[in-house]
Amino acid sequence: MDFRPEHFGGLLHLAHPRLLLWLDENLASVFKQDPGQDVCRHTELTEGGPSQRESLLGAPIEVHMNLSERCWTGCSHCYVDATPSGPVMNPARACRLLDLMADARVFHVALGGGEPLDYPALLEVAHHARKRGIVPNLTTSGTGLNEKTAFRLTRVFGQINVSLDVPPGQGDSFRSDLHVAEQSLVMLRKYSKNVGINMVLSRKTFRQLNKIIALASKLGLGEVELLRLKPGGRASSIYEKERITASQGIELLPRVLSLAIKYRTAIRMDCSLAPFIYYHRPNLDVLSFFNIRGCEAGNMLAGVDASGNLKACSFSPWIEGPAEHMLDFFGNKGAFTIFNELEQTLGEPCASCDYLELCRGGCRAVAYFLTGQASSPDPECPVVLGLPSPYVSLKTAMISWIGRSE
Amino acid sequence: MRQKKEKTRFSHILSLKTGLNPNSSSLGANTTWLLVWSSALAIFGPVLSLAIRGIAAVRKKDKPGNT
Ligand code: SF4
Ligand code: SF4
Repeated sequence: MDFRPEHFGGLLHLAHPRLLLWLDENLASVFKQDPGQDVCRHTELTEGGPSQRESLLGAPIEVHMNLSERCWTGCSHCYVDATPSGPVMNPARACRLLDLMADARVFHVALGGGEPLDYPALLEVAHHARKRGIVPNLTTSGTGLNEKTAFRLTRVFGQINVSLDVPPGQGDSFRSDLHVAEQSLVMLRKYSKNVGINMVLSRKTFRQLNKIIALASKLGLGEVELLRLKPGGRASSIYEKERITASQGIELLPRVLSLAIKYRTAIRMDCSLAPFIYYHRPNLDVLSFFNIRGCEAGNMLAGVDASGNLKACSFSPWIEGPAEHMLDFFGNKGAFTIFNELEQTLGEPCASCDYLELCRGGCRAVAYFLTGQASSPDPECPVVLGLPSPYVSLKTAMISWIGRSE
Repeated sequence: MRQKKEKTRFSHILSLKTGLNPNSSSLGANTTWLLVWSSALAIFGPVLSLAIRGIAAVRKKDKPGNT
């Protein structure tokens, strides 16, 4: 159990069950050892900033760190353009950055790449994170995994996901070694239940959604995480051809929910898919309570690339500075300005959207790539596209039904 | 028009996040909760509205002038 004071009360991190709780002042006071303890470590920095962002945390809850931008798999949708000769982070530097994150009381670090399994000091860095009280998590292609490494990885990582978009033998994928991914999943699952699939959605892989969830269920995996294709690295050149279609975007949430029931599998959707959830007008309180949020770049999360650059999120087109300065950025309303000022700078229809506070205008990486403007609404959001909602919200339906009795 | 509303509080827990995010690129939200809560609302919603309709009907009946 780990507690971090915040301006609203505090954040309580539990390892079993794996939960992060936002507590109000009243409940948080139970965990504050010293009543004068800094409510927000960066209080001085947050005062007088230009942004009015109310929900700004004192530090991210997770940082995504690319240890290496080297990879031999050559996936066409790789957002870091990883190659066999890409940059690699020095392990001592990675550990120093983890120390800074620990000082800021970041709870989780997601280690990725490139291919992190090709990073010789991967386990050493992961153990260092554990030692400093940060839970390390991992995304891998599974290339080069063997039984011994699988066992050792599951001992230190909290969650390990393997990238797989299409079940082996079932059609076009961004990568060619699909059997490797499946075998890695089988190996990892032998030693831990905290193993899952990362699936990048494109107009082609979308058709494989049912099969991927069925495979996850068959292998007894804990979860599938769906990711929107993002226009970075090599993916930029294929983005407009490969992104999901407007009708697939609309179909996504109902499909995901029915698959979650059918296969009893937890399905996570990444932040950039939020507009496709909100389009169906789910209950705001439920979304807010379970943190089903959109763009949290520069607040709940931050990214560090293999060259040691700090970004609001791994996909952000903007480098903020060397990651060694991260403590000056975390919890600072004057930092990550493009992201922190979105509620003031976004135009219509986001400005008057009920979901703005959670969604924050969709994915910045996509919006900037397609429009060239930093604060443009996500052009692929079905609401921005002006598509009529096929669903009447439950609330409206209930109100009109109750109204009939008058 | 965008609605600004008071946040619902579940006791002293303002919100929560389940699981761990292994993805080095974005923040994953577990949509299963959406399903569970929407289902709960779908079940309790009609029951609740039935109760409200019942109360409304009884009140109408009790109003002077109604037989
Ligand atoms: S209109 Fe804007 S704020 Fe609303 S769901 Fe779409 S992208 Fe998000
Ligand atoms: S820019 Fe925002 S929505 Fe897009 S991937 Fe980054 S955090 Fe998620």
